[in-house]
Amino acid sequence: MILKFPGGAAPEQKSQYAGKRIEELTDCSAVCLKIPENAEARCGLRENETVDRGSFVALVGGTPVYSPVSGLFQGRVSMNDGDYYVIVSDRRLREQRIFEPETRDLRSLGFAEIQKSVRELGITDSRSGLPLWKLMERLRGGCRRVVADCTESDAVCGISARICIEKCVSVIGGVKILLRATSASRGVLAFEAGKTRVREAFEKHLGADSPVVCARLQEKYPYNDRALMNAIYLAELGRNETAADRGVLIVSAECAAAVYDCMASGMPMLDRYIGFYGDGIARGANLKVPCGTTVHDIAEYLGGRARKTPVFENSLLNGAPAGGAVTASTRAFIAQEKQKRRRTPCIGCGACAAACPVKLIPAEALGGAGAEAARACIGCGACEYVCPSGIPLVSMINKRRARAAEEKGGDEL
Amino acid sequence: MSVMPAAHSGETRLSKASDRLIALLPVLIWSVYIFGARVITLCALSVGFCFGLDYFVQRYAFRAPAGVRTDPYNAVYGLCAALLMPVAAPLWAPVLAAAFTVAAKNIHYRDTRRVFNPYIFSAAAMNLLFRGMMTCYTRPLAYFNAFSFVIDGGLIEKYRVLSPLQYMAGGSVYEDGLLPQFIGFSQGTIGEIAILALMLGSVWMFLRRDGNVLGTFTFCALIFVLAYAFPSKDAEPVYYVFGTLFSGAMIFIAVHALNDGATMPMNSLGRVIVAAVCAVLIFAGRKIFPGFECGYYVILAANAASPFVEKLTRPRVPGTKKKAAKSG
Repeated sequence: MILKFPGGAAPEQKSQYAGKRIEELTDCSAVCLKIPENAEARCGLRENETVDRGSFVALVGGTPVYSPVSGLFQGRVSMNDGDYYVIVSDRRLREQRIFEPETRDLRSLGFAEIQKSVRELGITDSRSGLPLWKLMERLRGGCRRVVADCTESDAVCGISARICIEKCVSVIGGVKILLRATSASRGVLAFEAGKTRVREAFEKHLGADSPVVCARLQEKYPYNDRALMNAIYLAELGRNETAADRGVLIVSAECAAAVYDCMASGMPMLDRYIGFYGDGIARGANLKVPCGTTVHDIAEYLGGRARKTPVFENSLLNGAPAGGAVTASTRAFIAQEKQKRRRTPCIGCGACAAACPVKLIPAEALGGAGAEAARACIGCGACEYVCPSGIPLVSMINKRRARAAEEKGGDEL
Repeated sequence: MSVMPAAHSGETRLSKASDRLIALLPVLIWSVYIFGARVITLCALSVGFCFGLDYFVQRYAFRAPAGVRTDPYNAVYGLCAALLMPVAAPLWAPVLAAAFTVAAKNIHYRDTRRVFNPYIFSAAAMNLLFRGMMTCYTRPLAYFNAFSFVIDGGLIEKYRVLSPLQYMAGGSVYEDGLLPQFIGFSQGTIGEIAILALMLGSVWMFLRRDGNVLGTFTFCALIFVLAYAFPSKDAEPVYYVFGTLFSGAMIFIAVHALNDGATMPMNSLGRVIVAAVCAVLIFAGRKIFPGFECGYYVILAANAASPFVEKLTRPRVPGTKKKAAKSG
């Protein structure tokens, strides 16, 4: 059965990359490890100190950060989109092992021990960009289900499908570890209904009595917490509510695989699985790259990028511009010219209302109405994507939101 | 804070208008067969003047930029305006209808919603101003000259017949039976007679997810139930039920006017409620004023009330209080 959910935009194009094997990129000139805004960062290295792959670099927001390459630590550098720890690679891949592989029976480990391990191993979730231990922290009220989100961040992407196909055992193993940690009774592997190879890969490794089951979702984007909760559990999340508030831990497929791999190998999460696609790149690929690899290095590896072509991070629907490097929340880069559509008057087709995941009528922003709608908007961009009249609904809602903030003194938002 | 999408779906204003035109195509083809080439002249004049007048309004009144002065929806509105006329109408009628259509097209509520459905407004205005001409129906397959500016009165009288709605005003049902009405061998305005063709067009519309099938169904079902519950004094009930549904542009309204997004509520519940109220009012109107085509006026009233219905029936945003959601 295909699970449906309200809102979202059904894409017309299908990904060409789900069939491409993951390539490993190790030869990068430098890595830039992003320091999240307002996060307390305590660096454990001096400038120009030599580091190995796996060396401790800093404690950022309570989560240890390790060097994904061997080379020379350059210190904290401010760039346009924030601060970074920069390490210039010597391309030798010297490795330092801090932790021993987990030899204890995983079934004997409890919540605290597993949470401590994932914290020490620096495992982050690419859906939210948050460290996994922080997501687990939110489950203090108890956890009923663990969901591995194996969907893509955009219709053109194929990296999640590749992770599921090539690292199927790791994804299932990671979900089982999280089930053990949280005492949840069932794990769910959620993926797009059209991804038949993903389904085949999972079904090959899942027994009839397995606590982990598959959930095939309707192909619509974005797949956020709200969409997954609605599709799988028919639960409607409130405006400021997360899946964790309802006792459901949702992690990305990459994160689930990292839990299994890192605990088994004792190596921290040093690499990220990302995709680089679009017309603006010589060839698109699914890649395993060191954390913090620059967009420039990846583009060079893939044969170069068309000049002045903008690069978007994760999704064209949302249209967020990519930063300079791979961060904790990077799932894909898409180099593509921005599609422009001439604005024409609203025809009232209702497509925006149908696409809105939070049941708004985005076209109301045209007439200056809908202050409540503006506050509730999650900015997914689905309404503007489907609008046949090319109305810049997202920016109009943002303006409405700003005006509402002014009217209310800004404290409500 | 979000940024703007870097991609758009393939649906454009042109593709949406094309869907509506494709839905109207069976009606147009059937009407040409039934009423002759004069249908093409009337439709071409209406569509052409809709484009021309709207271009001038956009350019000189609204000072619209060059790219948005030509709206593909003018073809839809112009065609619908012509389809709501009798074939014997003089050739100045579609020009005037186009003027009414363009005027209504450019009256907006809060810069977003259109106040009145353009072609329904045009039909209502023409019916008010030229009631005799607009209710002068001729029998099917009586072809008039396609290019006669005004058709000779004597010729019209020779072929003049009562429409099914006019029959029903006298307390009886259409004497030729239901099948000719369903297929489209009856008299009436150009577009209202071809029930089968209208239904074929609606299938295309709903397949393309244009319009709300529930609203259309509610309207038809309610008319059906009301006609069955309150039959005419000496009419056979089943004949009366279908006769009511097939006469007086009822199906045209159900398929096209109730699914005009710019003048009807955008949310499904709002459309269903408006459709239900329209069905009740049209039926009541017919009972109170037999023979008077009140459908156009009911639709215009529904158009004007739509923003308020939409506001009342807006789905609650998850996580907000009921009161706050309604205050908007």
